[in-house]
Amino acid sequence: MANVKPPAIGVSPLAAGDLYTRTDPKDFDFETTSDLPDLTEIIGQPRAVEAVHFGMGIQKEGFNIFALGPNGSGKQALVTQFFEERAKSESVPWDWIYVYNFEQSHRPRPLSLPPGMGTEFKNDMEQLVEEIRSALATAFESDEYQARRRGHEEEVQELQEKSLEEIQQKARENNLAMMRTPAGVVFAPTRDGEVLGPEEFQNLPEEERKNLEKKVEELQQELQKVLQSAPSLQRQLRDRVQNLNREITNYAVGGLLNELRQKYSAFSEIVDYLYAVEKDLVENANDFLRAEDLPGVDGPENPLAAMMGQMRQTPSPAQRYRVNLLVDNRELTGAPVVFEDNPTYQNLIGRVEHMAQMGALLTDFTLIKAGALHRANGGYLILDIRKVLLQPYAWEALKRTLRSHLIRIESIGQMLSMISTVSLEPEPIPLNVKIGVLGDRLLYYLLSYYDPEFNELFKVEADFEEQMPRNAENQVKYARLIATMVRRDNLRPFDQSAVARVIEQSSRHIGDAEKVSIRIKDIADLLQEADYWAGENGNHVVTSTDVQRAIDAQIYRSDRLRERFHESILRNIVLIDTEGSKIGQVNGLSVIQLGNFAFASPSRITARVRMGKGDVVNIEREVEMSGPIHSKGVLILSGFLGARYTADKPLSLSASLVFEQSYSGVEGDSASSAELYALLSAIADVPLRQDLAVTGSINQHGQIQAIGGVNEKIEGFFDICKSRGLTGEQGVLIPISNIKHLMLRQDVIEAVEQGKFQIYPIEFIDQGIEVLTGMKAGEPDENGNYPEDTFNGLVQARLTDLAEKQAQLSRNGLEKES
Amino acid sequence: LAKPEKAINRILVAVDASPQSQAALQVAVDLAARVEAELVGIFVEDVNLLRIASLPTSREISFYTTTLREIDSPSIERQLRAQARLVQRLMARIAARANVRWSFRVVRGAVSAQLLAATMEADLVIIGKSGWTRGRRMGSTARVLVVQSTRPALVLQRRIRFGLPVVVVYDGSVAGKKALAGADLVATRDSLVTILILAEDPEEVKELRREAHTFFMEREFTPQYHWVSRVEASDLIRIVKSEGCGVLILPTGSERLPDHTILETVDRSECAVLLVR
Repeated sequence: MANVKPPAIGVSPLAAGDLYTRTDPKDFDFETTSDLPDLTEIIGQPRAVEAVHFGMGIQKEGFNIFALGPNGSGKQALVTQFFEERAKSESVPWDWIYVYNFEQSHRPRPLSLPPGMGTEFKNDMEQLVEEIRSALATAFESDEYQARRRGHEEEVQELQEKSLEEIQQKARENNLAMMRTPAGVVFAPTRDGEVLGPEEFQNLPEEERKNLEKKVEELQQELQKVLQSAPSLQRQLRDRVQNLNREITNYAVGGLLNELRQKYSAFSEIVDYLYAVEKDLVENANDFLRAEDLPGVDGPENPLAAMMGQMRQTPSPAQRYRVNLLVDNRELTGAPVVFEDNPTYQNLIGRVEHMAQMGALLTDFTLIKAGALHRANGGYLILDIRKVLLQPYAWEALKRTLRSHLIRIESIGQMLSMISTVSLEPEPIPLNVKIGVLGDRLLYYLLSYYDPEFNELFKVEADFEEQMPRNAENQVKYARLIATMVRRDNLRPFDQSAVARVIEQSSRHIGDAEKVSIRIKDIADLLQEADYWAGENGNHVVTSTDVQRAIDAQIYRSDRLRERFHESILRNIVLIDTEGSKIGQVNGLSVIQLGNFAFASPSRITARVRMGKGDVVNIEREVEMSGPIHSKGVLILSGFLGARYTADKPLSLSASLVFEQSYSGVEGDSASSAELYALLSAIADVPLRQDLAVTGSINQHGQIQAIGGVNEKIEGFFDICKSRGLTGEQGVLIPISNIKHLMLRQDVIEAVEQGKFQIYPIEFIDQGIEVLTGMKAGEPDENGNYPEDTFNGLVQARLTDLAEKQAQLSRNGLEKES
Repeated sequence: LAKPEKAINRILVAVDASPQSQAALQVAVDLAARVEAELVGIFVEDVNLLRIASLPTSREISFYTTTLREIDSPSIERQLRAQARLVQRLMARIAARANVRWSFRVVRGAVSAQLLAATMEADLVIIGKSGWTRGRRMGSTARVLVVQSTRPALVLQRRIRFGLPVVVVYDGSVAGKKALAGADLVATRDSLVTILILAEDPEEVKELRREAHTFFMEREFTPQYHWVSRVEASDLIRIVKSEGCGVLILPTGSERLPDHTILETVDRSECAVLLVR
């Protein structure tokens, strides 16, 4: 206590001029916002701007940017603007295509080409397929091919026929017939072309019979040999036809492919691919021609079989040579800047789509679809971290991709082994992208704390301010910002007064007269609403009246609950005195935040004391309706009491403190000074003025400390008093350090001007005591004793009295025991 | 389609279990549907086979596995019955699909003789060309029908569709006129119809051409005409092949087209041949 010197007692209420920091429209040298040029710079975010610049400039691993700040602080606009500016001067990245992998059909291959050439190559391949189709059809229909093929076929067939014919001939010479049974071939003895019956056969001379049987056996063996050679002959035929097909195909398509190879000779991967295409073509020329294209071949009769044919695992040749243009950059003029609004797993890393066919899901490399990372590859990608985190597996996939520098498309089902059907595993594409992630601070710090990879991947922290100093220079910039937004949103021009009012409201919004809010979203909302009201009022220029109307309307729309609160006070359902004096009772002020709207309402705080063991009972805490900060504030009170008044004696009182008629929780320490006033009043048995309300937190030395929501609190009590009729005595005690936050409503300022309402800035508890009790607080002498006729003296006397009584009781108790 | 004259009321098709005879069956059904004729399928159980099977030492060589196994008549009979049932079912199915009146007969005896006898009740006979050796040459049964039958016969190598090119040999004979009428059977509006006029001198050519032109006047197709003074089998085979291997229609019993030429043509051609008599 010794090191904090209480200031001189005697508090004067604040003058009206202290309650509101005006922006004088006359300070502006423009008529309306139409006179102002656009604001090209980013205002109020020097730290974030520098961070983003740094993040964009540094080309090292992990230097991605995390823009953190509350919603509406212009993160996306700033990051996008910077990325776009830089992207303009950067080169357009190459196109990416996926092509069939002839070696591993389930792993489509990515290839890249200069911007625009992806489309060209795709078209070239489509045209090639058409040309090949007709070239092959012509080649295979040519007389030469047909003749050579038939030649091979006939050679084999003749060989077989000849062998059979020879056997048949031999059989005939020996009076035997070679006949077909349903399952095979038999030799039978004949006479005059007729097969012998069993009896006729038996009647033959034995020698002849044996001879016939022997012949039959010989012929059977010969026939067996001929029949056994059939499969190998067929195989030979197939090989010959295959070789012929290769030769013809090579001749037919070689030239076409050479042309393409020439055209793309600068791209070795494309050339390799074209060689692979040629090899595949030569091997599979037959499949390439559609059945109906081939002469003399009937299409499948059964439509089901035809459809099943289409369902083969490997795509048809024409499909195999198609090009899936994954990323087409031909329209770009610089590096891409992509904002992915719906960053699902698949929208980020791409996906392999499927087609339903006959109840089965089929896919091939043409169904690979690009994700945002593909589109942003070689440029910039902007993501909202909250959305990324909400999407299953998206965050992990993003990190994995950034770590490996490879975009690998995997389906979630496959990844989790939920689906194990044959599907595609496209070969990954190398990734080079700068990511700008937008999010609020909480998410940044949580990720930073819990995700070990986060700090390695997002090394640049761009922290966005919500406010900036309200000085003359900034106010001019602010006016230009308003002008820019007015033009962007096609609003009516704002005149000087309207701009000034917007700036004032912006200060009020963040509860600080020396700062203005730079939450672009809130400003934009207010501008649009003011423009609406100007339209309603038939104004061509938005004036301060329109802005005020917009503010009032915003409040009115949100203030149903405040009305109910105040109504219940005015109807004496909630008991709040605004006149007279009471012992152990004071008006506290509590703020209620509902969405974007905050209001305050007075609460009655009461204290009762009796002899006890020195504990101050916080009734809210006993019923678990007190938040930790509130509880801490109450505990500070006992520290203050004991040290100040009874440093050398035990604190022998038991006090209870309560927020009367509070049915929900109490949090914050802004009522701790009010609680102390109530407690001291109860101890000293001195009444406190009920026409004043109190706010401010207190420390163990009795200093009053700043609190939040001072404007709302003052207005909350003012509204009640005004409704009951201002007596001229009413007012609010606020911490002196809150004066710079005052941006009060006009009617409050008027009441203060007219002396109907007072606002007392309090620095030290004793100042508040004097205002509330009208008594001298009293200064302690060198022994720490307060004069008896002062408030502090009364407190000290009561506490000393209680301590003595306590000691007496203890002695009596001990005597009894002995 | 040109409405053909109602000259064909009953079509006979000779069937066994071979793929070629199934193709013949299909063509027969298509044709029967087209001319609204009744279709008769005939399956001959070869009596010679049954006789062979009853020989004590008879063994057959399996066509596919080339192994030898004993046979007897009951098993061969069973197998033949099974084949017949199979073919009958097939016929029932495709005839029903084409809404064709049909009947199916199983007879036992020497194949050629039985078929020849059956052709007497039919206005057109359809038969697969090759024998069981699966070559391209004519089998013995087809040969008997070509040579001995008095009925028009369509000899097929494989399945054909209507609308294929048609080549008709016209020599002014009665059979030749029937050959022109035969074009109605197989040609459609899309068919390329070629009339091969077989005549000695230009005057006769002009006359025959006029006749043919008159005949085709109200048809949907417009034929083209070629003139040959004499013709060999190899010429016919070449011509029909160069026209696209559709159907070749030949008149029989004509002096200018001797039987041996016809037989050789049928034997060596890969295209379908319709013999009109």
